[in-house]
Formats: sequence, C-alpha cells, structure tokens
Amino acid sequence: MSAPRPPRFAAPARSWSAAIPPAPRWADRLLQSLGVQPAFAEAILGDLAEERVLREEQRGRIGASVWYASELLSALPHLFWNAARFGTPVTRARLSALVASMVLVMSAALMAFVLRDGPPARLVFTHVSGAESVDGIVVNYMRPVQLPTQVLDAKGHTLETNDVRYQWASGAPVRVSSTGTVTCTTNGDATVRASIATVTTDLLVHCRPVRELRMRAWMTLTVDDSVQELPFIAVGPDGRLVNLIAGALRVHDSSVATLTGSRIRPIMPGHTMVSVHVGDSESRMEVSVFRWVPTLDHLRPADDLVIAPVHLPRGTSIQWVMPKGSFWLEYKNRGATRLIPRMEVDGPISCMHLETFAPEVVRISCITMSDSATFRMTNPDSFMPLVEGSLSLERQPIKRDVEPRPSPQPHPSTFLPRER
Amino acid sequence: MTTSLGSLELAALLSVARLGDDAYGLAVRQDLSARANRDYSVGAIYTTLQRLEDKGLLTSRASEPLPVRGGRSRRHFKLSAAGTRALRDAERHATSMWAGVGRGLRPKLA
Repeated sequence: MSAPRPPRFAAPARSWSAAIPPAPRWADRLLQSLGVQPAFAEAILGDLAEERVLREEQRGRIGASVWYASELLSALPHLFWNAARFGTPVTRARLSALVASMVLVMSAALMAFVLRDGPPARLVFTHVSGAESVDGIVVNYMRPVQLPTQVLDAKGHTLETNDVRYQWASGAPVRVSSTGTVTCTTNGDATVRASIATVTTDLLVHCRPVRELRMRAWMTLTVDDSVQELPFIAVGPDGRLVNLIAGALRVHDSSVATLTGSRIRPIMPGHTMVSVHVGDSESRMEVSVFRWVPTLDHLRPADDLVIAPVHLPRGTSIQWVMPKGSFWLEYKNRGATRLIPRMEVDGPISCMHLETFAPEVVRISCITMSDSATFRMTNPDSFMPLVEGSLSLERQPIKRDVEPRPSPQPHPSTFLPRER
Repeated sequence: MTTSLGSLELAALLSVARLGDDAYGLAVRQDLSARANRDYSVGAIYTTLQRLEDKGLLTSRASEPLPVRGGRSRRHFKLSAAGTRALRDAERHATSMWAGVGRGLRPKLA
C-alpha cells in the first residue's frame, strides 16, 4: 500500500521555519483548481512567501497580507494563461467553466447593482387602464376597494406597497382605512393622504358609486359607420345618473368591431358581444354589423347581414325578391318620424311582426320556401311626400362556411374618467 | 537567425545575465523594478521568464526547499547559449540603430 500523496502545492512540513508562515492554503487550492503548472505555481508562491516576510518586517502583518492577496490577484491573468497553455484538456475545460462562472457572477452582480431598487421617491395612483391619474381617482364601486397605488424609486422601479399608510385629510366623509381601502357610499370628493418613508402625496378621490349600468340589449351598425359612443348609462344608489365614471370594456370578437375607449368601430358584417364594467356593475350588449347594398334582390349566399336604403316618394313602391330560408327584416325610418310605409309579402313566404320598443322601427321574422317570394314597401298617395329609411336583412342562421373566419379574438379596452 | 524580443523579455534577459547565480523570480523582479522605477507583478515576471525558457533563451533549475520561502524551492534561471547570442544580437541591433545619432541625444549609462 502506498503512502497518501501530499497535495501538489503543499510545502513539506519539515522545512517550515517557525517564523516563516507557509502560503495560505486557499492560494494553493486556487492555483491547483486553475490547473497551473506545479513548477510555475511553486515558484510564484515561493517568491510571494519570501517577499511577504520582508514586507511584514517593513509594513506589519496586515499590510503584508493585503499585499499578498492583491499580488496573487494581479497574477491571475498570467496564471490563467499558463493553465490554458500547459494544462490538460480537463484542466482547460475546468478553466473555461471557471472563467464563464466568473463572468456570469460579475455580470449578475453588475446587473443587480444597476437594477437595484432605491428608497421610495414617488407615489403614483393609477386608473383602471393603468394610466397615471392626474386629476384624482374615480371610485365607482359601492363595496370597499383598495386604492390603486404604486411606489416608485428615483429610477422608476416599482417597490412594495405594503408599507404605504393612508388617512382621510379633507372633503367628503369617505371612509379610508390605514391600508388604503376606501368605501364610497355617497357622491363626493375627498382628499386622502398617502405616506411611505419620507414621501407623502395627497390624492383626490372622486366617490361616484354606481349601482347599475343600463345599456340597450343590442346595437346595429353598418360597416361604413364612423366610430360611435357606446350607448350606456350609469345609475347611482340614489337612482340618479352618474356622470363621472371609469371602467373597462371588452368586445368579444374583434374581427366584427373594435373598441377605442368607450367608442366602438364596426369592422365587418357579423355579430359580437360587448361587455362593460364600471365599479361593481356589468352590462352586455349584442352588436350586429351590416353591410350596405343597393338592393335586397338576388342576394349572394355570403350576404348574411345586409342593409338597403329605402327612398319612396308619395305614390311609389319598391319590391325585392327575398332569399330562401329564415331571416329577419327590420325597417327603420330616417329621423324620428313614426309614420311607417305599408309592407306586403307575396308568394311562398310567411312573416310575423316582432315587438320593438321604438315606434319608428318595424321588425319582422320571415321564412320562405323558395326564392320566388317578394317583399314590397309602398308610400300611398294619401301618406307622406317622401318616406326615407333603411331595411336590413339578417339571415338565420348565418352561414359561416361561405367565408370562413378566424376564431374570435377578444379586444379589451378601458376608458378614463370623464363626464358622460 | 535572430530571435525577436519584447522590451520586458530583453530586460528580463539582461537581469538574469546581471544577477548570475542569484537569478530567480523575486531577484529578477526586484532588479527590474528598481531599474525601471515601476512595480512588476509576480505573474508578469514569471510569464516572461517562462516564455524566454520556451524560446530556449533561458534554462532553469529548482533549488532545495528553503525555510524562508515557506518550504518551497527557488527556480533559478540561467542564460543559455541561445540567450547569450540573443543578447549580443540585441546589443548589436541597438548600437546599429543608435549609429549616426548625435552625442547629445545618446543615453548616459549609469
């Protein structure tokens, strides 16, 4: 059995003088791990040890130790080079891994230093949309709600908000907890003071609780329509209209219509749903987008949602051949006149009036057995000088296989507080 | 054939020649530092000495382990025949380069 081999760079114990300390073991281990040639390392560590003794006499133990460490560090590039040049493949691989690790660690340390968070420098309050509030926060909730606060350092990094403390400062008697929960029961404006460390900011809170959102069940648009405001109103707990609201909207199929703030833009014929959230309330509306056609005669299979203009001087009539199948017809006068032209059908067609709550609108559900049925509108001699409006046709069900469309993509939107 | 030498290599070779039997890393380093009035790191000196040895201009041998070095041996360097030739070539080259330069510009050797 052979005797255990001493470490490659360890000095023989028999030669050590009591006054001369050996090189620190970490230096041995460092050079060993780098894969430096033993003779090269021996010479360097020996020189360092010898000079260290001289320096200890001149500058003391601490100064000599500092010199030793700095000298060894400054020798590292040369040692790396020696190891890379004379080391075995394993040594070189180990060296590469070491260098890569050092680069990684230094990069991470540099990144951490650059990206480190500073002390709180600013308190920012945001709307539902995430935009920074300038004129205060609108609270449309009836239940207690947390104020949307962000704490930023001088570089704009987001910090924890747990330590922010709040208190009511002035204005309407709004209940504010120390953690920033506000409860709005009535309309009113209050100033809330938020503090963290040395930063204190006053926030204007507009309490406008909303009990209910009222919106039409459906909305009809045409492709050529410009952007339109969505028709909905917010009602407070006292039954009065709430004018200052902030909320979020979502159109379920963005290929049919898109949203900008609280306005809707029709894109192509089709149906979609729009949902509106304000405070605790939510409401939905079906939106149908039609395409203008000059006539309802001989519609193509893809014409699911079309609308034609109606222009009838006194004593004239207009007649269209209806497509085969089920469909809805809806006539709407231009303007608010309630006088509706006479409507008749002929041929293999059966129709039924549907109830509408608008007197200037007539809605009919029809089914035809062949494509020879006709629909006629007449402005009798005894009626108005001119009847103007539009007649829309919506096939049931809509044939999606004619022009396949991609699956619906929702399109969210938010709107900033504003008077409605 | 002449061997191209860097300035530190030439200085190290000269130092080894100057120190004779006492030429080992620390002595060479102290000699160069004193003459150049600047600090050379141990790594820089040893890398240079090793390069000179690789070029065949120096030879080296290890001494017995010494207590003053924490039980480590010294690595003594000595000019090889090629090293001696390289120094002569370097001197000749320097002399040739200085030829024709006015006396006022010539360095005064200590």
